[in-house]
Amino acid sequence: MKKYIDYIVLLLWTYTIIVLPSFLFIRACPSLFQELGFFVQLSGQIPEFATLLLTTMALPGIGMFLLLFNRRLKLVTIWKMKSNQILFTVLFSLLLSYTSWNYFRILYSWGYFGLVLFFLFFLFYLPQVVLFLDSVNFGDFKIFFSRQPQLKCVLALSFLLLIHQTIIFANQKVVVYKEQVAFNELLPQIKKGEPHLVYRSNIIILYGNNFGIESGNISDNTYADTESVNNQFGKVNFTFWDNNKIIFQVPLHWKTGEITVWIEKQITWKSKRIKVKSNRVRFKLMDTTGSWDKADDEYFRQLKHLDKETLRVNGYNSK
Amino acid sequence: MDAFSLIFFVNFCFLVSIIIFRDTSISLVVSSLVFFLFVFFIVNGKLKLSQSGFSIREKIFRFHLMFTKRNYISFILCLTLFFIFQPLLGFNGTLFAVFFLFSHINHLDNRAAFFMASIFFVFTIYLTVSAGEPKQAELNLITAYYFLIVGTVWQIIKK
Repeated sequence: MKKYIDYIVLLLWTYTIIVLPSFLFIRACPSLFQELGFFVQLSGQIPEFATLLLTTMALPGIGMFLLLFNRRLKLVTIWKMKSNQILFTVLFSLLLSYTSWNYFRILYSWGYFGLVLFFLFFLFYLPQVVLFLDSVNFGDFKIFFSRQPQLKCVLALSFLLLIHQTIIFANQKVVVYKEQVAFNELLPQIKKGEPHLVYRSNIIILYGNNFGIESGNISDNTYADTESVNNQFGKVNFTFWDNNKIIFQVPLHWKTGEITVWIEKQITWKSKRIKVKSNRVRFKLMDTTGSWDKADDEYFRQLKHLDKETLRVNGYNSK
Repeated sequence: MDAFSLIFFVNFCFLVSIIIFRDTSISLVVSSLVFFLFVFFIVNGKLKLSQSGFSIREKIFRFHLMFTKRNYISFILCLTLFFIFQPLLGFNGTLFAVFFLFSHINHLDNRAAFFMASIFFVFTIYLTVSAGEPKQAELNLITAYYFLIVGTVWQIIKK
């Protein structure tokens, strides 16, 4: 078992040393030789930068884990290093964690917790990576040439190809994920719509992102109930539209009760114009006829919590 | 020939085979065969390396000695301050505040500002060409120009 693990460690090391630096170099080439379209074409053949970063982190990690499992090495603990080495590792981990934190949006969305997490990870991980890369020398490859060297070399090449295909497969997933993230970033997103409780002719403000400079349509579910699915009928006239804000008046054709509102707009995706919808926000349209009830009390209670702008556009004094 | 030179040669083989075959799997096979051929010669004593290991730790340790503890501590302190104050003062504001603090602690001259400008210029090229993020590149370029101005004004004052 130990022997097989040694083979795997050596092959992981080989892949890390041969392929990853070349891939990273090709990725950087278009920046260096931007006049040469050749490098741009070439970089299209190799995995995405995110995949390369993940692979650069994962392969030495797996190798180190196997070496620990095989009891070939012991973990490097930062407090046992010399003071200058500790300071260097802390500094390098800080720089790497900040760069990675900005690059990987999932951890960026966690705020400073994500940054600290990255920092601690690198602080622990970097010394292990160096130890792994240092642990192999050319003399260790003797085991490949002891018995049946041809068979061992064929198996080694197959294993290297297996690692490579796994990375290519992972890259496809990363590409799909990145496309999805890029597409989602183009979608209009309503963050807030107020007032929540409205009477007919009240003015509603929708706040959010990516509404676009070109105006789109505001749609509601009122006519879907009556099976008259037609954008024209669902259209709401707006008085103001910009990328982050839409102002419109509650139309007279809305029925009392729950109203769901969303935005539809045209975007260009992969050179095609497509219609996209935003998330939905709910409003409650109240009846103005009948006697005063709890819902009317609720309407006036909500005024205390509305933005000044919403109050102003609805005719309430707001200093 | 040492271990690093040999690896550079194998990397070069990988790059050339990618250019020739336009397929990463074939390039991997070719460069791995070259690598195993070298290893075979080394193991059988037909090729001798001045150093068979990489001694990366040793090389990094030599790098550690280039800077003093004071340099490292001030760098870490300034980076931490940058992370803390960035949401309050914005990227450029915090960057310049921290840069001046770092320059003051380490007694740097105006070349530091030009050095920072060059880093931002290089990063702008990467963002424009490789990453395809022109907006971010534009912001980087503005920061680079700020550093150029700071460096020039610094030199004028110093003279």
